[in-house]
Amino acid sequence: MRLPIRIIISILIFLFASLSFAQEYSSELAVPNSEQPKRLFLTDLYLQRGIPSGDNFAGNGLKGGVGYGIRMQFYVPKNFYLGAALTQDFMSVSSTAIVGEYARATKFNAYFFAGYDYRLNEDWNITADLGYGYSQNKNRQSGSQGGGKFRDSGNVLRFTSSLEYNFSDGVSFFFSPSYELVSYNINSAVALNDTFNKANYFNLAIGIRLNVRDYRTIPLGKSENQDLQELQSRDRADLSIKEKRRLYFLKKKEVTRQRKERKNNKSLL
Amino acid sequence: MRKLSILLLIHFLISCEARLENDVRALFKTRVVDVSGNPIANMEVSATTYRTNRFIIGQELSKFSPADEDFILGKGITNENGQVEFVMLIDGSFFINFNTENYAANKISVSRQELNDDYLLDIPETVLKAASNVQIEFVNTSGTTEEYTATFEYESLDCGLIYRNNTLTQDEDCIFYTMQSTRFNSTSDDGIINLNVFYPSIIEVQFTDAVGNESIRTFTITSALESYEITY
Repeated sequence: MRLPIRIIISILIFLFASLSFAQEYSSELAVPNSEQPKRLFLTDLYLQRGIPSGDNFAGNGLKGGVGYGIRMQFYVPKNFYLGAALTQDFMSVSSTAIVGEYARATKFNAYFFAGYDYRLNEDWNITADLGYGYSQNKNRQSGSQGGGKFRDSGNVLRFTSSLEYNFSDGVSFFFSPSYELVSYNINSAVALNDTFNKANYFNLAIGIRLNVRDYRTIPLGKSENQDLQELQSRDRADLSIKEKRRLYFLKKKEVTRQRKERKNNKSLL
Repeated sequence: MRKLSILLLIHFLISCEARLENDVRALFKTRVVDVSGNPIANMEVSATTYRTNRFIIGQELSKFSPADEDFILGKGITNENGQVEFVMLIDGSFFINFNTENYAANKISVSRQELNDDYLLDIPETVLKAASNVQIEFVNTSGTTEEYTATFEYESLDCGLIYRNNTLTQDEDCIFYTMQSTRFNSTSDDGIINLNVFYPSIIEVQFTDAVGNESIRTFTITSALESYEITY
């Protein structure tokens, strides 16, 4: 397994483990899912399997492998979002007669995208976006072929969808099929133009989504209000560290909410 | 730290990555026949670059690596009709090689400009000659002790073909290899000369004695192994 993939897997496992432990604590504070705060920003970390497809040099001469990617997006009104992404996929050559005399290709994409996030229910979301940017295949010969390197570059149009399960407000898991249309700037003989001017890739990805949400607009729930009143009524010296911490965050949350409410009222007047 | 930075900078400056031309694919096609016009089937044809450059003293020089480790740009196998066609990467000028024992000495040198902007190299017909090992023995029948000088004019295996302006020709600048000269009769066993030549071809031998008397012999080579005697 390649070193970058090992690193990504390690990061994913670490983040997943640490955020899963964190979930226990955050669930105490979490507002009910029906009042899930709006997303402001999110980061996706994922592994993907790229599958070259179509009647072109990639579909007929390249064999997909494991890749990885990172996406960052911020939300604009009405659940629309904008973002940028980087991906890297490792492929091998299955037919040198079609693609040329080299052994491996690493596809790198850097693109911007815009999309829409739809909440199905308390636990599930789906997203869909369309992206456009730069794509480059870094090709490398084997030692017996001479060890030479060269690039094939072009532009990628990528449709990405995802089905997302929310573990908590902060973390979710997603499965993401996507499809790339890459138009390459490869200068070739006329007879080869149809083979080398484009390529298609179908990708299947799994990963984790780290969310940053806007908690300011969410009022304390009924149970939280009860908790707050109960904690405030008790002697502070009798509170455990955990209870003190909970009291602190509940107070802070209530103060923030009241401040925001006052601000809104002023602007209305 | 400063020394380390300087060392790193020098390392990055002098370390060179073996690179081929980006964003290109050329197409090579030809039909390979022998001197009788018969197609040569099932023969691997390859395009390579920086194979070697033979310098005037006969040393082999290559840019990055030994000849057998240089870049393979593309390769294909001839069909029953002798036709071959393959996708080719590009890295400047290159060589077309014919990878069978009989015809391995045939090399076609092609300049990058020949690909033009259409990235197509279509050589309608490539005629290959096989290699022959020819032994020429100078036999002293007169008992002379004078030293002789001999010059051999022949089609050397070291002289490749050049594809230029859509024409396949012999390398006209290959005089060093086609006009080998040697001395003999200075010792008792220096009269045997081995030449590797293409055939069919003609070898012309000129030899001159110490006084300046010149003799010429001509041999027509038609097989892979031949030997001749010249008496003096």
